[in-house]
Amino acid sequence: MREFDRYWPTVQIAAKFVVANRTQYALQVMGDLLQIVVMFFIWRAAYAQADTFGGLTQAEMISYLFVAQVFRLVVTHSVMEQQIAYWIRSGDIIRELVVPLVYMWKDLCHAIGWLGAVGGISGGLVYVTGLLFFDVRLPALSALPALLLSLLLAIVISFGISFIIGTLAFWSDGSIWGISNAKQVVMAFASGALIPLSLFPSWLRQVVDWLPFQAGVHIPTSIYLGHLHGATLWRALGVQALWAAGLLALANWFFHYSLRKVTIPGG
Amino acid sequence: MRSVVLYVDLLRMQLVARGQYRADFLTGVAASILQHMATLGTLWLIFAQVPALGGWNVAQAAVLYGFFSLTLGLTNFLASGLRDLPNMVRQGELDGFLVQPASAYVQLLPRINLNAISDVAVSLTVLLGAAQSAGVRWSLPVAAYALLAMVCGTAIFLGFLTAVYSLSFWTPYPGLMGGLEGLTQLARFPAGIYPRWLQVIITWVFPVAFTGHFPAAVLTGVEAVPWWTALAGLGLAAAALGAGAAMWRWGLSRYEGAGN
Repeated sequence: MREFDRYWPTVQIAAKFVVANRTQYALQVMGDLLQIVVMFFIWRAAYAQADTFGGLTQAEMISYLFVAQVFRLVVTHSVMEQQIAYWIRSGDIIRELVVPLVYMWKDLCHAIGWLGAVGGISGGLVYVTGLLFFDVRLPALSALPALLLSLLLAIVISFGISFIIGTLAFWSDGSIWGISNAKQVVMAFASGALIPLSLFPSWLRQVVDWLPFQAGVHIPTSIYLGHLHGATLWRALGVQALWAAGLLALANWFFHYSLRKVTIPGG
Repeated sequence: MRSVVLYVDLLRMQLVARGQYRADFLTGVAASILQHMATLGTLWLIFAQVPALGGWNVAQAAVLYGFFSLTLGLTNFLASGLRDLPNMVRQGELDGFLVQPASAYVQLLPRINLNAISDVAVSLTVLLGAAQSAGVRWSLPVAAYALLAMVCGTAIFLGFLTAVYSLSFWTPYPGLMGGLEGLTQLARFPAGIYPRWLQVIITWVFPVAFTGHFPAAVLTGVEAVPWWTALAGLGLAAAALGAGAAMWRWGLSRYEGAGN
């Protein structure tokens, strides 16, 4: 409990910062929405020629499109790696290290607060638009506990990836703009946020199944749509838990290894 | 003419400054290539399911995508500085440009956008490759038309982005401009996938169909484009630039600086 009291303020600060800028985030999400609408028309034209694609009916595909985008917004944000890269570039990382908190946990709390608020605002707007105007279906009530657990694990997985990329700033004079962009792109595609993984050819599907990204969007979206039950559901959650633990361990090791390289601009 | 020289000088200065972070530049190029691969991959995965969308096959749609992202990339290369405008207006930094004996607009535009440079290179590759498999025959008139359409498309995007970012003079939310920029996405696919009313809008009102759809239709011959529609692109490009310039002037006349 004492631990909780020490870390909780970081979650609150991150969330409050976002909420203070809520209009900004709400307006920004128009871009994401437009992209989904364009994909909606693409699929509408495709479904005029067949009944199912990758095992999904038109209604399921539209739901997939919206829900996967919502989860992408809830699970990942480039600010996660840019925050730590900024500390490293400015030398302020030293201040973070003398704080009597484990830096990685503090950063995870920051990410949770940030994503909870940004994801809530942006993801919420996309979701409500989908529900009201595009007949996006609601999840089964019984799927909710697994869905929440899956989303939490997805956030941890995405955080682990971001933390590792942010830590690269120790090795690149603090600039990670390029690799951060690359990660966002690979994440969008390989997580199934742009197009369902069931449409991937089998060789590509095998590749992305062995990558952590699909555990970020594809698994929670599949749970939402009710595609995973019983043993397959437990297996999917297990895969997520393994990725989450593995990435956190790797991130922790990499951070401490890189710390030996730290140079602080003196003055 | 003086403006052009100044613009080129400013752009070169930016390029030298950015050359400092070479590794970041290279990963940025890789990211841009990945971005195009992801978009084309999505396109390819959809076309693996259906032979045609809106009457276009995969090679023809890729020509469209290549043309669209080439014009957008060129616009971003020429005018990346527009994205700094919201911040400059809020911080009052535009003052520095206004006291210089040259147009503030010309001073604002040139910012090296590494994404845009690789976007242009990758889009050009995609366009030429796709044109090859779509059976485009490059004769002198065809190449001349493509060049003209590229200039028009770039002008349409430049006018649009100038108008959008001029909103900085009214609103403190850069998110609005980022969101509105998303409207360019409507030009990424054949117009035939949209309902009739939306097709009319992206042809005549918000003429982004001229940045990809019509040029690709003419090049590949997938749709008959009446000559007067192709010609209208010129007028619409001029109108877009005019609208952008008007918004900029109007906004600038409201600018009051930020005090201290």
